[in-house]
Amino acid sequence: MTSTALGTWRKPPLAYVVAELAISPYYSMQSKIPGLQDKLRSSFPRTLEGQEIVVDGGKPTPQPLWQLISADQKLGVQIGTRAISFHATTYSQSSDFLSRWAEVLDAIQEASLGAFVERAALRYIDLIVPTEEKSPSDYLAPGLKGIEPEDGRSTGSMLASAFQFDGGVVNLRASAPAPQGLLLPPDFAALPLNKPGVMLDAEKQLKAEKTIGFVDTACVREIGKVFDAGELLGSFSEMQKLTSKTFKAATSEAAKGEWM
Amino acid sequence: MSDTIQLRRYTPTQAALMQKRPSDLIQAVESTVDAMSAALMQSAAEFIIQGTTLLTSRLLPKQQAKKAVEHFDVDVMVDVVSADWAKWTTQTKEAFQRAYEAPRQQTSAAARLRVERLSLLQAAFGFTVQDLASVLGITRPQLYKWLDVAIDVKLQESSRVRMAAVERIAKEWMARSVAPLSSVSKEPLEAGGTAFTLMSAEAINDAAVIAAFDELAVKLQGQPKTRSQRLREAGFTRRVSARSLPSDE
Repeated sequence: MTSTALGTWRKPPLAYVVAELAISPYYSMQSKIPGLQDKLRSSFPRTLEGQEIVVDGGKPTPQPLWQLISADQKLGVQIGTRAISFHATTYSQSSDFLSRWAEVLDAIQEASLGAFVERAALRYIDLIVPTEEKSPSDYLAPGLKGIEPEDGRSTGSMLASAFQFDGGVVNLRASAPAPQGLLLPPDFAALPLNKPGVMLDAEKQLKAEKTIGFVDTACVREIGKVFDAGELLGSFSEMQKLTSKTFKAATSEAAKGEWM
Repeated sequence: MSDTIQLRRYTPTQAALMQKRPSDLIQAVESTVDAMSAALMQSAAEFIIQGTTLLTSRLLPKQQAKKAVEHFDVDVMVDVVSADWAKWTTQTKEAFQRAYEAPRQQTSAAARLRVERLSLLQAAFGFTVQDLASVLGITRPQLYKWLDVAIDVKLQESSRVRMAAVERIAKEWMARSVAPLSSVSKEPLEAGGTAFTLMSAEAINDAAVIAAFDELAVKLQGQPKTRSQRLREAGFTRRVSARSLPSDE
């Protein structure tokens, strides 16, 4: 299993990226899967079937889920009755990620799903693996560091903020140090993809009972339109800029010096 | 003849006519013709006969001309003319209809993004197509295909990686200079070689390329200013052209 560094920085902390479309309930998705699978087979030859529990009103109901995974297990597409998402643990440039997502969007367009897109979201998970003599909080901007009571030592903290921009809302969650044993954000449903180098390093730190942290930056934008690949791609390009701006504001100068 | 360009003026009727599709115009004429078709065909047929009569009488001896004219029959001519007219209008209408209704080729989002990425690279580097193809590790015909938004090209993984690497170094150049790299890309470097040879190597050495960019950026700053740069510094601005892109300004 090869590990990769995500992004163009010297020592990038990026561990996982997800682009997601929340769609109106699409009950006949099962009939569309064969066509989508054929169109995406060349990039995502492996298919896994699953179920998700949907709580819509009263009784939770299981809904089918399909996961199309690339041959190197670094990219995946998840298709369900309520969301379509693209997951990556390989990321060289935002333009490269968006071009792969564009191919998935084009395949969905050609399959003529006609899905109504409620929202679009772009989420970046960065892991803080401190080097010697540093703590995870040293990598966060001063405003995110939290308090330090006298004679006290932080064993876990989580700060959540939401920032409204013209192009959407960016939700930021910073946990440094992350509660013991927590590698990824608590409500994060990852696909079974190959772990990147920074995630393997973070796991080693946890095994050695050292602390790590994570920064979870997610931009959400209301769409409210029938699926259109071109328009959605434009939205994601803008959302990428907003998440990047927020992430850079959330990190300290020391972190930028070490990572960039 | 006037020294100034004369504006064209249209009446509302003329303007409305010009906005119609050709097939609509033919349909409009046809509906008018249908109303007066009989009289029109008759007069057209008579005109043809008169013309032919005149021509044959001038060209042929009298007896032969008389015999030739006798073969013409007004009713036959009316049928011939109306059939030809109907055939012509039908064919022309069908041709215009087909052209108008032909489905326009939809371009994919991935293709548009690919072309946009290549445009940004060209804006940064200003290379010829051949040189850009060399940097991207592909042939010139292949690059032309990549540049065609109508063609859905599935990039190989190696091509994706290469393009991402080239985009990375394009960002490095744009952070150092607004001038396109092409003006200095083939200048010899202190460490030997040129920036272009470094960029078109099989594996791009980022550190070596960045060092080359630093050297070339300094060299560019030391070059004498061009006329347009001097004018810009003096406060002159380019007249906005209707054909220029916002990024040109």
